[in-house]
Amino acid sequence: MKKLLLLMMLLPAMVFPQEFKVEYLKGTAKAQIGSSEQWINVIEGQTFKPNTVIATEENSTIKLKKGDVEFTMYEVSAVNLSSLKKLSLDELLLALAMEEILSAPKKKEDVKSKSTVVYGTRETGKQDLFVRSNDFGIKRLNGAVRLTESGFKESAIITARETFRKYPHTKGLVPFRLYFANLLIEKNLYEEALEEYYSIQKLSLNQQQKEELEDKLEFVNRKVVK
Amino acid sequence: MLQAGNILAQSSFSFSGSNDISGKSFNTIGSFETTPSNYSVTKDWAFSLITGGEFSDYFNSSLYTIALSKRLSPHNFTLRYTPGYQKEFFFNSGESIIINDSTSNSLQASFNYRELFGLGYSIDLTEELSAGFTMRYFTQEFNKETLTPVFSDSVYLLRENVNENISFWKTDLGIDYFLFKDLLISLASVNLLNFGSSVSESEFEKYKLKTEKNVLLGLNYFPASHLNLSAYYESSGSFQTGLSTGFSFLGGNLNFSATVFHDKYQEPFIAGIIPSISFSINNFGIKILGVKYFSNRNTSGSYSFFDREGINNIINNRYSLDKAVMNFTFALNTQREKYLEFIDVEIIEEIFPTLSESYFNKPFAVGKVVNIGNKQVTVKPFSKIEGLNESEITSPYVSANPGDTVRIAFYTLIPENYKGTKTEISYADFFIYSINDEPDDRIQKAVLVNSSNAWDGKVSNLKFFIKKGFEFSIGYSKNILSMHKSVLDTTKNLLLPFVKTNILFDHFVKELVYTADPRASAEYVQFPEETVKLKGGDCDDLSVALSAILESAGIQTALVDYKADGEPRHVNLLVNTGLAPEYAGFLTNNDTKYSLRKNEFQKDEVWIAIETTSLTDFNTAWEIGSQKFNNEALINMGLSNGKVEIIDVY
Repeated sequence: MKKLLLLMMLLPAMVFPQEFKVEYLKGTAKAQIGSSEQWINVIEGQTFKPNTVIATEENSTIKLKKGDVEFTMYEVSAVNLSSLKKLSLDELLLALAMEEILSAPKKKEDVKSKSTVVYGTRETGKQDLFVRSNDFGIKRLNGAVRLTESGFKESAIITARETFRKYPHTKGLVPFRLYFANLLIEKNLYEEALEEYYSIQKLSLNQQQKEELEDKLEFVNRKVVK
Repeated sequence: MLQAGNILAQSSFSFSGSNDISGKSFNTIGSFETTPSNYSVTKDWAFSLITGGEFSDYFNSSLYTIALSKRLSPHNFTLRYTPGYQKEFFFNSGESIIINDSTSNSLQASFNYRELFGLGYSIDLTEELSAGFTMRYFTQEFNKETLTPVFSDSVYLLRENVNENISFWKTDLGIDYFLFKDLLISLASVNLLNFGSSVSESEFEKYKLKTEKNVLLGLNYFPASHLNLSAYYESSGSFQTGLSTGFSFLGGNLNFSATVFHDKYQEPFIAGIIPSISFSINNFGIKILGVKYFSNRNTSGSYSFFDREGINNIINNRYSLDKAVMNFTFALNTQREKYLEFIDVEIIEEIFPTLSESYFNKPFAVGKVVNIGNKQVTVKPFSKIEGLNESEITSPYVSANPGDTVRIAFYTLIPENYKGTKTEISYADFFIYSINDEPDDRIQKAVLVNSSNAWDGKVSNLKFFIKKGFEFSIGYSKNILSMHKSVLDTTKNLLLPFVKTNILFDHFVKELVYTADPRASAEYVQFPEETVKLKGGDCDDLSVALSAILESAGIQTALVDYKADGEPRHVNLLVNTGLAPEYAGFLTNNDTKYSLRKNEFQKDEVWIAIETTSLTDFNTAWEIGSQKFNNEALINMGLSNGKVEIIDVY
């Protein structure tokens, strides 16, 4: 009987592993566990709890796995492992509402772009949007793009919104802003997208960005009116 | 012998004289002569007794009337017993018998008129209009000696006494209408409907009370607060008019009035005057009045005149004598006018004295009140908790239409200096007022008043414990920070809140131990001073104390309520570092150790979570606090699903 009970207690841990394992690592990746101030070097085969942030250096790639979940992150990116989970649309809406609960409703802010980063292509792999920078906010955004590409779009939206607030200078990164605003449209969150586009409109935009923004605004406005 | 002449007196003559200056006094109850409509301003019960006497060769005293009035709003009922309303006549009929010895013996006649009792009913149709009727019961007794010749062996005269008793009801209708607030118009019938027994002896027909049909029109005008002018006119041509004035005296009203009356069947033109003086206080009134006729009055008169004219009024006729009358009136009710009644009051909140401000926003009791009146009134609710309130506490007014039942919320105020060490059952008195100075209704309910340290278990209410005894917290934080003056003087301004938090926390926890609340069944929270003195407490006590200390140093805090299922509830703190997110790097390399909240200017500020039960050092408390906040509030979405709540202290 005792054995049976023990088996029942262990079964969930065996079937649904609680930790991420580093399946592959190229270059350098670091981990910050829980509330620790320290970053430790990551090695292959190491396991991490979901309350860990993993960040990669230049020319580095890491592959993490927990059960069926596999996630590959390329260079100069960072991700909180707790974000590597599928969320329903309702859960996304709850998470967005949480911002409002935590804070008073925010007004549209007049944010000037402070970005001096260089947009480029990464050395390895393929990513829609990528910015080479050691700035941790940008690493977070690169990580959020990877979340999108890995199918964790809801988590990506939450991560990006949090990053834009915690690292205010990233608000001026128009390609990222447009990227995640477009993701809101993809999730049919038109009002949220509209608010984001209006905020982007106040930034310094090039002609191509202006045209894209106008197209998106027209599209979203039509959707909102409907 | 009686003088010849008509004796048809006016019907509106009464012993009430003019109205009191208010015109709405209960002093005139049962005056069916001036108010055949039974109009009354009695609020509940009223009782009146009129006694007095006539001045003749000697003073004949009698009890004139006893009247009782009851209002069942909007209905009013009056009963009147009138033992003194009677007039008796004794006459020598003018016929006499010569007896054998040559002495003569006159035949006698007597006539007795009585009004025994009456009843009245009226209804307030609107606030301005009232209608009603009165019924009065009269008896008449006629006696007359006659001589009847009897033929036998000789003829002789038989002296016989002929007697007849009859009675009848006299019914009249009337309406009273306030044309303006200060003008009352009355219209009533006189002798509208009379029914009863008839005389069998036709010779008595002429002695019956005359019941000529008339219309009575009355006007009462109140041009000033202490002045009343009244006038009553009968279609027969008789009238009376009066003036009443007065002033406040010994907490009551002292009034003087004079009424003069014209009776077209009496001489002179103004037949008499009724002066009066009255005093009323609270529910009691006394009035002394006199009736002075301007013509000579004798106790003897002409039978032939009486035989020809008869009478139509028992108390005011040609044969009436001057009178002195005293009128006592007492309102039996303690409520002048009642519009509202409690159905019930339910205590919905026991009293937690320290949560004083919370009672501004939430009622501690809810009452149901019904408007039993016939007009819309404003319900003015008050309450007073014994041992807690020194005076009655006003709650929001509610408007109630006639017949409506309204919900009344009762709020209370708790004195800041209240310090109850024991939980006790007290009593709350609830009052509702409408238009009177006195409450329409009251009810008493038991209410539980907890000790000052009692807490209702709602984390949002812990802020009241934080605010209480703020003087101690200010002194405490100032004392500690002054010990670290050199550190603070060399700290960048933008980091001061964070550094102060660090210093205050480390000092605060130095001598403290965590102790689980031993009062598991009854929530008990220590005030900050008690926690410091007792050197320990549970999560509630420690969070309250630390929040109070930080707030007193100008550092903004918020309570975090973790309501995890199946686990003991937990409370810790969020602290505002005041830093913009750009500067968060000054505090930490880990961006999961802080959260952003917008300030009143919609700017993000860095807040950190502190586990107050971690009594080691600031950094450990921050790490534990932020991990718990991240996991339960953010990752598990506790803030969205209601399992975690942030309560700003200010």
